[in-house]
Amino acid sequence: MIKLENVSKVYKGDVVALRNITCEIQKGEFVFLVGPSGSGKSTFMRLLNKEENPDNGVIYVAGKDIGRLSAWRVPFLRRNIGCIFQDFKLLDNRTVSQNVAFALEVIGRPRHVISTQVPAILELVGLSKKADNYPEELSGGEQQRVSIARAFVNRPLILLADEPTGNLDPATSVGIMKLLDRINRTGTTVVMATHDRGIVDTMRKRVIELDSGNLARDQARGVYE
Amino acid sequence: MNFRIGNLFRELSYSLRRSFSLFVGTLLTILISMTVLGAGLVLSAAVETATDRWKDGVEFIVFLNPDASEAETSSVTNKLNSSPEIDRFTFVDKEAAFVEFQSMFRDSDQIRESVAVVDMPPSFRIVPESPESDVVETLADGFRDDPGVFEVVAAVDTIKDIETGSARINRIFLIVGLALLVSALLLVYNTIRTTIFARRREVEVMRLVGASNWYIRVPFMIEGTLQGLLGGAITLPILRLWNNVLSDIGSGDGLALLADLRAPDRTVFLIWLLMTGLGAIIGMVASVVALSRFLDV
Repeated sequence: MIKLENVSKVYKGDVVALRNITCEIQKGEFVFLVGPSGSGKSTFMRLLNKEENPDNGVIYVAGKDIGRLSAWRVPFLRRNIGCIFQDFKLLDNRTVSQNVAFALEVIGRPRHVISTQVPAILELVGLSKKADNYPEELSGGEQQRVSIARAFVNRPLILLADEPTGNLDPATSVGIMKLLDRINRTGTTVVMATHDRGIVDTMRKRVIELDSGNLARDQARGVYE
Repeated sequence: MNFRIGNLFRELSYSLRRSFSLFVGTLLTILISMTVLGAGLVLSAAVETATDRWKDGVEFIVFLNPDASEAETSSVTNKLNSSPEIDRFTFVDKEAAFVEFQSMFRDSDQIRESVAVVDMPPSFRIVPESPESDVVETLADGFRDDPGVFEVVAAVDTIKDIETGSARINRIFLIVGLALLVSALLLVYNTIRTTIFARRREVEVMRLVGASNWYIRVPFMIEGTLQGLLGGAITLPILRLWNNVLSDIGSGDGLALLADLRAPDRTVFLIWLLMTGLGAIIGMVASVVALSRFLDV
């Protein structure tokens, strides 16, 4: 599903974000990306949905070399990749259901599809009763559920989660991880960058550790360390 | 391009509500710059119309004293008849001059009532063989010192005055108009930039969920183009008013030469179309530049 071959990324001022990374993630895998701040986790994620381009190496997503993707096809790549973030990135002036529907509207899904898919996904994340609330009326955990609903409503092949529990208390984080696990079981590949030792150690999924841009460890059913 | 018109209008109206004062300010600047440019064009069209009627025979007029004797009148007549350089001429006597004067000042009772037939100078309207201005001037000079002649007016002088005057005014209009145009361009650019900034979260989400570049760009482009289009379109009544003002100025100084200082309605309409199109182009160009600089899609 995802394959990196000798991928390097250097920012201005010779800041090495990633150095010669090679790894492969299979369809349906759940992978934790761990490492200290500045180790290259976010760059890794940003390269996958082509928000940035590598200086060296080749990246394949769903069998395609995304480096050869023309600019106008990039949106189509992104439709296959859902993204969730630590700060949720919800639109404050739209209700929960409008936030989720927005993701479908902007890619031109027909209205009847939107009106059936949005309630279904809100049901999945357990927010049916809050459909008409605004983000500021929700707790942090609920907001992250909305953000997951928005990322998953289009049934992407891959879900990228950049520290999704970073702003949440442990109990709420467990709920979010259960949800991500459930999504993973539908066959969606999940790549999650995290600092949360407890979560990584409990879930025992594949762990890829980055350190100063180097691939330090790639372990099946790994722990945080 | 996965557009739904409803979505597009919603995006647009949301954006307008969010930065309404900015939108109006920019629109007014475009309106002013388009008005100045358009007014310059209307003026030159009006001058062209005013001078156009002189093309079929450049004239000069020999005015006689109101109390010129018959001998003096026939002396000028004979001189005109015998000159090979004169193609034809007409004599406008006191009564005809009075009628013309009355019609020229039909809007002003006071001026009309202040003169009588006896006060009117009779005149010769002369069409020379050659329309060259120096020939006309030499011919005109030949009558200046004749007995009974009150004044000799060569149309070329007046026309030249109008043309240089209007060219000068036009240059000022053009410079001011272009300066305003640049400021309009920068304002649209800044408006779109501010709009993009105000909506950066939405743009970010749109990008992440895979909205096409055009889907993201088009509402901003429409906003910029709309500002230009509206700013240009509102110039129509102002240009019409300006044309009327010119017409009033033209007839106000009492010279028959200037009675028609007015651009034809059709021309004013074409100038308006041009200004509207130009406004739209400015709006679009400015927003496209702003988008390429501030919207990384």
